[in-house]
Amino acid sequence: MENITVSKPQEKIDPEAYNRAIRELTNLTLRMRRLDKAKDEFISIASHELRNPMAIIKGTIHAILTGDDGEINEEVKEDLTDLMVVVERQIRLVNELLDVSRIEAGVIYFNIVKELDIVSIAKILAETLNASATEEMVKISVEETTDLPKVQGDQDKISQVLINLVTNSRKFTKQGSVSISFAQKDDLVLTYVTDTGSGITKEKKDQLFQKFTKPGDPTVGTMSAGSGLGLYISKKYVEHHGGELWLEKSEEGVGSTFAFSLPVSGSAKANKIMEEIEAMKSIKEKGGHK
Amino acid sequence: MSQVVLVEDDALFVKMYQKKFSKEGISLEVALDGEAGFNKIKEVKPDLAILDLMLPKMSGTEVLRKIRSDESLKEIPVIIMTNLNASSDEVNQAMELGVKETVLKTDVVPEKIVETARKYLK
Repeated sequence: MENITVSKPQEKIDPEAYNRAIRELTNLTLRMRRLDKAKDEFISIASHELRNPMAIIKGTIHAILTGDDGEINEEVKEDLTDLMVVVERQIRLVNELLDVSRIEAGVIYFNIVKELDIVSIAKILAETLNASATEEMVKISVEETTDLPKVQGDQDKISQVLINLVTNSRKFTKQGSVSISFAQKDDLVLTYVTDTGSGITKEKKDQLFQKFTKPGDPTVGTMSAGSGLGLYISKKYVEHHGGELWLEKSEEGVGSTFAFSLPVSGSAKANKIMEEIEAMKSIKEKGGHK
Repeated sequence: MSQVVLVEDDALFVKMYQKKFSKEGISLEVALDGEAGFNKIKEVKPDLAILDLMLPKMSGTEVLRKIRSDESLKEIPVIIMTNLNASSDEVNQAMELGVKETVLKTDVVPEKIVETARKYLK
């Protein structure tokens, strides 16, 4: 163990120096709070300025497509449908960029609940994604399991992580399957997303979780490569839960498996995360942060 | 007659919703800032209020707080239609004050909001 020497407190403290230090600390705290507020406001304004025009374009295209302005011919319909795909892609990009700014500014809110059933979250997700899949997309299957403990987490964020992993897999899997399976390791529940797709090249493996890194070019028809932010966001979200997200294995031409861990409800790890969240909340409230 | 009030500061956004609501035969009154929005809601006492959160003069959350603390208005159902993420403080504050739904503007089209609004119309 490191030897720590504690110096004897000075008997006389220079009151002037003491007051000066207090003043400096107070000023610094105030500046930090102002900065925090400015970051928050910047993201709010950016959200508004970026999303409002997209909402108007989307709404107007939808109205024309559904005949609100009268009948339109097939060619116009086709053009507008293409435009809608582009708009939706742009909306996703804006969503991801805003998620990244919120993560980096530390102003993201996690609605963590103590007991979540990860298997049913995965099942609902697979059902929804399978229902809206086009012919070129492979089906998503979920492993049947009954003895998995509940996890602690934010349902929306965990769903977002799973959607990211599954849609990524689907982009690179022409034939075969994308499957979700589970395991328990000590205080953690592990979720695996496995595909039989094109795999990830050696060069890409090292940069996978960096911003704007795409795992490769999609191999399935018209699917967009995306922004390269999904894995970065997913990793950060899982880490906020006290878990980890990693590439379990990947082989070119054979497929990939991504995995993430979440703390089991009521475990020491889960309780520690809950305590940290409560502490952060109370700091924020005491700081008078809006 | 059933009435809906929309408080939203983007005139083009408002125009798009006015067009759809009028096509569907629902009366939509609009206000372009929070203060005017609260006055409009007080005057009309609508079946439903749709509020943006980031508004000039008075925020949507403040409008909602005033609605909830006014005896004659507090039962009015409110939908929040915003550009802010569900995980933002503003949206969470609004939800604590009591709203029927919170939607992200880019997730919906006017047709969907008309459908939602019909649930609350008398």
